[in-house]
Amino acid sequence: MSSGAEHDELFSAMPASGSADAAAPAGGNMWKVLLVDDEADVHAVLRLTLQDVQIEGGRLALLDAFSATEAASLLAAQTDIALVLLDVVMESDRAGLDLVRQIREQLANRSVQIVLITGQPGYAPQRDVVSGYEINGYWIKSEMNAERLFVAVCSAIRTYRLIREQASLQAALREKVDELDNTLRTLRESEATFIRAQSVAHVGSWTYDMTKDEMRLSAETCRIYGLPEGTIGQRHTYLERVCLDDRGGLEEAWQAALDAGRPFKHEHRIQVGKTLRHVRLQADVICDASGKPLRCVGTTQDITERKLAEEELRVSNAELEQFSYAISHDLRQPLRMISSYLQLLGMSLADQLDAERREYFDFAIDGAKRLDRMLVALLEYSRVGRLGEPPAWVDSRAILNEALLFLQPAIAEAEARVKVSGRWPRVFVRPDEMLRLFQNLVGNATKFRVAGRNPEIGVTSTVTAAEWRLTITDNGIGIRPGQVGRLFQVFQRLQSRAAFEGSGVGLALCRKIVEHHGGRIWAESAGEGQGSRFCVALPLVREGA
Amino acid sequence: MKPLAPRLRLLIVEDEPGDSRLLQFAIVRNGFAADVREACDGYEALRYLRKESPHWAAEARPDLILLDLKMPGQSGLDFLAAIKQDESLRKIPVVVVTTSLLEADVRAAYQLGAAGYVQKPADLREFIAAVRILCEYWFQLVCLPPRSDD
Repeated sequence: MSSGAEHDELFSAMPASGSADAAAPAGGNMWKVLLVDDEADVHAVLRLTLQDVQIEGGRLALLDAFSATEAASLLAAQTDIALVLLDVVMESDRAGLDLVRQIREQLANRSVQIVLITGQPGYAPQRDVVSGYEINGYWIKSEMNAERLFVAVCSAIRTYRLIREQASLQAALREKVDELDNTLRTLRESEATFIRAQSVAHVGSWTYDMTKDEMRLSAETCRIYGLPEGTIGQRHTYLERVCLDDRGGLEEAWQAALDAGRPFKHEHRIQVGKTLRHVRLQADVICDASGKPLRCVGTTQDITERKLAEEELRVSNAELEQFSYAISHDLRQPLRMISSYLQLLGMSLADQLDAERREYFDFAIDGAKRLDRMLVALLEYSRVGRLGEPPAWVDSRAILNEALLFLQPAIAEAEARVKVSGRWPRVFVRPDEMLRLFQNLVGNATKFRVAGRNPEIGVTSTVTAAEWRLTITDNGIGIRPGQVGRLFQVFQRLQSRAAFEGSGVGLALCRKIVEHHGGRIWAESAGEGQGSRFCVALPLVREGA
Repeated sequence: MKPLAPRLRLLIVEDEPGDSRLLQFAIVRNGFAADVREACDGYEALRYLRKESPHWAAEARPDLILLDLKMPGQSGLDFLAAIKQDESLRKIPVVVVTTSLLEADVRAAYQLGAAGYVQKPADLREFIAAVRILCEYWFQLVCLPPRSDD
C-alpha cells in the first residue's frame, strides 16, 4: 500500500554495499529487529538497508512479518526482539496501531522499541499517534531514507539496550533486596532470641564508641538501667546512674582498662528510680592498629538477686552466730547457777545428808554439768566452717603429728600403738578443723577399745588423681550392724555414758568438717568387738590451680 | 586455813545477784577478805566510779574491778572501753569474769585493755580454785607496793 515514490527515496539513499552474506559471527550479540509490513518490497528494501548495520557491539537479526497478526505471534514467541519497524495500514487501516496496543498491554512488553513507518499519514496523524500510543518513533515513508533509518534504528537499539540493562539491573537489585530481606528476618529472629536470652539471664550488652562518646545499650541493658528501649547515650548516661560511692572505683577501673587496652570487670550498684540494683560489668577495649582505644564492648549483668541472697545468707549467718552466743552464755549461765548452788547446798548440808540423799545431789549436779558440756559441744559444732582459720596450704602429715601430740597422754594411757603410713600430700584445708578431725578420729580409736586389748591404730593416707583418702582403723569395740547410720548424728551415742564418756558431737563434728571441705566420711565394721574403719575422702585441689 | 590477807577494795560489775554472791563466796572460801561494792551494769559502775551521787563521795577507788561481759544496759566490753578512755579511771585493773568462752570475746577484752580473763567453770570446786588463783595474784600485787591513794 505504500507508494513507489517512497521506495525510491529510500532506495536512492541506500549504501551500495554488497556484503549481504556478512552475517553476525556465531555466538555474537545479535539485535533482533522485526520488520512488519504487508508489502514484500518494503521488507526487501529494509533488509538491504539494515543488513550490514553494526550497533552496540552486535549485528542485526532481521525477522519478517507480513501482517499484524503474524507479528503478534512472533512477538509472543520471542521476547528478546529489540525493535519493531511497523507499518500502520495492513489488514486494516489501524492494524499497526492495534498491534502497538497489543504489544504494550496484552503482551506486556514495554522494552521492545516500536518505530512506526507509515505510507498514509492521513490514517494515523503523527501527533495523535505519538501521544496516544507508546511508540518510540514515527516516520513517514516518503521522508525516510537510508541515513534516517540508520539513525532511527541505532537510537532505538541503544534505548532498548539501556532498558534491558536497567531491567536486568533491577532484577539483580530485587534479588539482592530479597536476599537482604531474608538476612534481616533471620537477624531479627536471632536478635529476638538474643534479647530473650539477655532478659532471662539478666545480662545486657552495650557498645561504647569513644571517638563519638556514644553508648548504645541493648534492650536488657536499658531495662536494667530503667531507660527507654533503644536509648543511645553518652558514657555519663551510664555513669550518672552508678551510686556515688561506687562511681570512682568504676571510672578508675575503666580508665586503667583503656590505658592498658585490656578487658576489665567491675561490680557496682546503680540507682534506678528508688531502687538500688547490683550489677556486674564486663568489658573489652578495641584498639586501632596503633593501639589507641576506639571502642568498648561489654555486658552488664543484673546480680541484684544474687547479692540479696548473699545478704540474706550473711544475715542468717549472723543470726546463727547470735544463737551460738545465746547457747554459750545465756543458757550456760543459769545452768551454772543450778550446778554451783546445788553443790553449795550439798556442801552446807554435808553432815545432815545420808548416802542416798548425797547421791540425789550428785545426780542433779552431774546432769547439769553434762548439759553444760553438751552446750559447749553444740557451740563448737555450730561454728564449723563459719569461724576459725581460713583455708590454707598445709602439710597434711604435720597436722596429723600435731593431733598425735595432743593425744599423746590418752595414747600412752591406753598403751595404744599408732602406725602411720601412706603418702601425705600438701592440702588446701582449714588447718584448725583438719586438726580437730584427726584428733576426733584417732582419739575415738584410742577411746573405744576392748577391755584388756591394747589398741592397734592404723592411720593411712592415699592420693589418687582427684581425691585424698584417709583411713583410720582400730581393733576396738566395733559397730553393731545397722548402727552405722546413727553414728554421725549429733548427740547420738551408741555406747553407754558409764562405759565411754563424751560430748556426743565428736563424729557429727567430723562429718560437718569433712562436708565443709567438700568430702565424704563413712564407717565400716565387721561387727561388735571387730574393730572399726573410718574413711574420709576429700577432693584434692591442685596447688597453684 | 591461810592467814587473812589485807582487805582488797573490789568492785563487782555483774547483773546476776547469784553470780555475784558465788564470786564473793569463793573469795571468802579461799580465805580472802575484800570490801566489795556491786554494780548491776556498766552505767551504774561508771556512775559509782565517777562519784555521781553524794553518798558515794567518801568512797575510795577500788583496787580491782571484776567484770561480767553480758549484762543488760551497758555491756562489759562497752564499760571496758569507756573506763580505758577515762584518764582518771584507766589505771584500775579490770579482770573479766564471764561464762563466755568465745574467742572473739577473749580477744576483744584483751584488746580493750582487760588485765585478765577468767572463764567461769560449771563445777563449783573448779570455780573456787580459779578464784583462788585470781585472788592470790591480785591481793599480792596490790599489797606489795606501799599503798598510795593517789
